[in-house]
Amino acid sequence: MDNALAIERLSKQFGKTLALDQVSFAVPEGAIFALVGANGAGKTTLIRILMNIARPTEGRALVLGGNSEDLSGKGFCEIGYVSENQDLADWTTVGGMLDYFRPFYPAWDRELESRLVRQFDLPLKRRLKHLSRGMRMKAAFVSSLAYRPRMLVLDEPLSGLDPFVRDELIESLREQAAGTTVFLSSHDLAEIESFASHVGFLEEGRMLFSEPLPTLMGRFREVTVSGGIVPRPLPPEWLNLEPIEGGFRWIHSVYRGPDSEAEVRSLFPGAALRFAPMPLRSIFLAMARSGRMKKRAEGRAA
Amino acid sequence: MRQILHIFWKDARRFWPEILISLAITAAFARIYPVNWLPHDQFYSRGLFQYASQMQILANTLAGLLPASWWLLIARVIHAEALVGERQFWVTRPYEWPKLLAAKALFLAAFLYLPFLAAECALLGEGGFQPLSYLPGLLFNLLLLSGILIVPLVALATVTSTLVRMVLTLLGVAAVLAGVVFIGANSDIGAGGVSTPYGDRYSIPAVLVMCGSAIVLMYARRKVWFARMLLFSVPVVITVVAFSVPNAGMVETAYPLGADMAARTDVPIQFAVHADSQSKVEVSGDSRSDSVEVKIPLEATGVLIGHVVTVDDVMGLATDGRGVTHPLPWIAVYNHYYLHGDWLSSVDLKMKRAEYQALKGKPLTLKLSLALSEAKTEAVSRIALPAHDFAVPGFGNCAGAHGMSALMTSLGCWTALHGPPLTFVKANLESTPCGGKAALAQDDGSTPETDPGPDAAGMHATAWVGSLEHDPADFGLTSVWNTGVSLAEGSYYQTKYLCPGTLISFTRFGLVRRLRTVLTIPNFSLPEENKYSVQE
Repeated sequence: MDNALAIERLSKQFGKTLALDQVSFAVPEGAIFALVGANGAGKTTLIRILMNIARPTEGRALVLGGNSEDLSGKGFCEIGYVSENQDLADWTTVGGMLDYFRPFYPAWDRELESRLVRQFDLPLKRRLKHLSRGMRMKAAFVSSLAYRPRMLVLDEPLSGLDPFVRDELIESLREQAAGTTVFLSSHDLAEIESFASHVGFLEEGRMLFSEPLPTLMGRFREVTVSGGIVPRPLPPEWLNLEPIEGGFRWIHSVYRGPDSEAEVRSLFPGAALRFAPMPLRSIFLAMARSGRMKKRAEGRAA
Repeated sequence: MRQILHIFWKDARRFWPEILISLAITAAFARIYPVNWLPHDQFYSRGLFQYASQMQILANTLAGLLPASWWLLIARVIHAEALVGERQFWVTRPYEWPKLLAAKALFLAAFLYLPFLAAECALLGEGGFQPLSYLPGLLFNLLLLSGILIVPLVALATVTSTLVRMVLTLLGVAAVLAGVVFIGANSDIGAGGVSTPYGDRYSIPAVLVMCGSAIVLMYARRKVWFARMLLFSVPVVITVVAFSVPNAGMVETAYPLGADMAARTDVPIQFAVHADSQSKVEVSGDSRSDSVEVKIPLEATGVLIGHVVTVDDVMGLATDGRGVTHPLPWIAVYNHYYLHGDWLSSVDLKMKRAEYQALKGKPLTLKLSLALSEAKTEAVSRIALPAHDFAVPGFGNCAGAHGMSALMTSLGCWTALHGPPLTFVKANLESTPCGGKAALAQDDGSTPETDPGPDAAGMHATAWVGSLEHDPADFGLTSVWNTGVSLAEGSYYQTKYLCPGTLISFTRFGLVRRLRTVLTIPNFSLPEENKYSVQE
């Protein structure tokens, strides 16, 4: 399968701040890739580079096969971009905006546009500047979905929206997913889990991992052990080890099924062990917490 | 093309109030501005006489509002797809930059250039000129308008994101320009102090190229800081060039040394210092200034019949008794005309006060270099002043100022696209009130070189108007230029009358050549200074 996105050793520096540090990953065509990370991790910077709104300091990003720095004009006929940071054509109405954008896209699907407008219950005659945040986001979605883009780039599309609107948008994304690569950044991990096929985790400008969601979910386990002595040094794949009543708990980040269970069992002979699958939200929190702890430890060492 | 028209129509629909305001101001300007040259009898006939001054204030206000409305239009249409920033709705849409730029250009052509061109044509029509005959000049004026106003405004709009930021930038630019003008006005260096036919030919092309590059750069690559630096360098480059081109070089290139003057078979033009009880060398200056003006009366002989020689610039080189030379820089001379016969005029040189103090009263050898233009008569029109406005072939249209006051001795003239060609105007003024007698002057048939002096029918009064060199158009919001012809003669104390029927002759001159000549004045002495102080 070809890659819709290929990021190669991408760095972006703002003055003395390194916003992205040698980021490399790829997004296969047709994937729904969720980029997660804490605030300030570099998600929006990365997306702006993909959309050629910002230029990388180093490295490159290939978007649908072309260098992001060359992305302009007709290149955007195949890409939809929705961002909470993007202005809308506020001077006009919802209908006016759709009328205006329509001739720019040869593949604009009027039927799909009408369906989405009905589905989102958008008031075509209302000015965009008079719409609520949720409605504005819906209007932006319609204007970016109606031409059936090969790739949809969404920067925090769901943040700050009420659950009802979120569900509506996710539903429309699911419907559109066939034949479209979706690349989105979000904090809404619960929702992402329900439809993302791939996940990347960005922390302080570095991509910690990027892989298919089932693989990720499969390799993380919350391990609980009652009794025993913690081995030193700790295996590097054990994260956030903490004592609990009568035992310990940690996150196993490279769980390989029975092999991993046998390894752990050999370190805690006779102890009761539990390997529990983790939701994406817990994995994200564990990674974030582990990163903070590692940083603190590095700080103490320094 | 479809995308260009699509963006164009979007802008036209969105900015209809701004378009309407601009069109209304343009239309009002075209309708009202002619009051600036409207003959007084037409004020009467239109019932506007009592509002004449208000109309002129309104006309001049509209002339100020017109560029302001353009600025608003430009700012709004460029900022509709702002090039500065990262949040604009259009930057991730399939806009092709050449088409976006073309759409903006089409908008300005349709709602700025075309209405302005129509207003220019209407003004020409109102002034009695056939617009189609002046099409090259009208287009040239649009080019000048682009270089001086429109392209710089568009460039500023491309490097700013909002109207407020553009206003602040404009204020900054105005401050820089004021600084440049101040430095130029208080400096002896640079090309500001001389008059050359080359004038300022490089500034507008430089502005067009640099601002145009900034615009293309912004649309093609959105390199904001690079474009801003490029725009910032425009006044800097112009100032540096202006100050680095020496006056001497400019004048000496434009006025070659008149070697061929001596080779002429007829009598060459000769200059000499004229000194008698009425005219002598004078030194004067503002007591607070660090320079003085040295006035040297000159007479010229050898000017051919039907020719005129004008002194455009002068420079001096004073050598004292010890052989030390003191250069007096090139400086422009205005309104000095020498016709055939003995004509007297004077040139003013500028000198540092300290240098003057050191040389005052000492015997000097003064070498004057004079930059001259020689022109010859191209046409003479003799017209009996009618009661209404009248056309002077090759010159423009005029009307007598009679009717306003019996003491008026001037003509109001208006010309198309620039001031008139160099013209000598002569008329017999009446010594009795118009209508008191049938005081129609008789044309004596004289040309400027035969100065007949007062005769029984009245007093000869003369005036020089216009200049020798013209581009197809001079930059202006109006396509019709006013020129007052003040007919002056020797006596200021006797009431004179310019009456209907008075014969007026217009002698138009055309450039023959430009040359430079040197006059050596031995035993020259600088007299005592006549000090004065300028009241503020």
